[in-house]
Amino acid sequence: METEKLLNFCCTIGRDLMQNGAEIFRVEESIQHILNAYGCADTEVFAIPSCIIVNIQEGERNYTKSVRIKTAANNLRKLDKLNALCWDICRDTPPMEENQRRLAEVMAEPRYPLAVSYLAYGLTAFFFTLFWGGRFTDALAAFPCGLIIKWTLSSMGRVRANVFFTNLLAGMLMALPPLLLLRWGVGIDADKCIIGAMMLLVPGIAITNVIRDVLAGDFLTAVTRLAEVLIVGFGIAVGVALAITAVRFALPAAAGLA
Amino acid sequence: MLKTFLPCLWAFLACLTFCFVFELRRWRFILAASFTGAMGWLVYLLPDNWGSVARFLTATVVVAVLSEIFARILKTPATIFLIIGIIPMVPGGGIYYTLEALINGDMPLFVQRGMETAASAGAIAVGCSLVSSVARIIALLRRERENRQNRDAI
Repeated sequence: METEKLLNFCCTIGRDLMQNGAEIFRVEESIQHILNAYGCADTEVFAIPSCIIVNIQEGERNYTKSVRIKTAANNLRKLDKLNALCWDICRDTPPMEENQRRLAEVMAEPRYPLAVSYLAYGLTAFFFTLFWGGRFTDALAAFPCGLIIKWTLSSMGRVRANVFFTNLLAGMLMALPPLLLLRWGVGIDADKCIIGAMMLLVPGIAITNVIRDVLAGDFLTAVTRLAEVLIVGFGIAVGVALAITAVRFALPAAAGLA
Repeated sequence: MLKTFLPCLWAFLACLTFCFVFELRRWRFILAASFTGAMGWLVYLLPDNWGSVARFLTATVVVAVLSEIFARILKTPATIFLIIGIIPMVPGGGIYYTLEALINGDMPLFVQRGMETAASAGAIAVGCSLVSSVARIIALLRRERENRQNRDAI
């Protein structure tokens, strides 16, 4: 009974870690440490980005559980808190009920209010446009691009669209306003706006973790995450390309400007 | 002078707002991550007679070292600071201009810009790997030493 509780808890915390941007070795090592702390000697933990399998052997009896992971929440605050929780658990080995309560507490913490989130997307596009050498007016034009990206990402998340389509749409929709503004004679540098806003779509967690996973020897994971990075990148590229081409076709009057 | 280093300020602010995108809450984390990003870009800007690949490599090494240091100080996964700090290095401009060359059908320019972008991405990966590998070895050695000391104490 206790072993099963432990197994369930390990799978849950492993899934939560993975969804919030932990590397594979962190997921595997955290589970392994918790199991060791609770005195399980004969264990196997296997994780890839879409699945975790945990096995505990007691005598001749095996307890196995696997969890399928589909979505990513990318919440770095939760990653920090879950990591701290793992350390606490390994140090104090409190009863499982206590662990489950604390895990539920961490997971129930609210995200930023929607307005703050939108503002963060807008301002990130704003500052990255300045960073990439845009002028102040370009940055102002990039601000709504950030808002469009946030809106597209959250609506596509709601209808569970795949990453390729989500990024294609986000890339296309965010590239349209600066290109149209330019065509309508507003003197902005549309390239800089698009580059600035594009930074929001770059799969930063996947890129960073693909490097760290390769080093830890998780080549299978590295290949999976690399595929994700490439598909997201391809989606953004196709989206932006569609927007540029569409504007050139629809408004050929000022051809050669963009 | 100011104009040269202004991008570092923009990198700092962009990383700061990016922390909110990734739901970071504690100000200490947010400031550390943004500082990491800005320092990376400062180092990229400093040696202006080097090639871009070498500059990206050194800058990434600095970002990764800072991330590992902040991770030890603030007791949290290094990947948090790395994810934010590496973002200014992402060759967004390179990707975009490569794409533009492709749309315009300018194949030589497409290949040239594509290779440039790929090279800088490679430099970032290498820089990041070097530091993470060394950090892991140091952590492992320290853990072994602690274990040995614990055994001796018993």
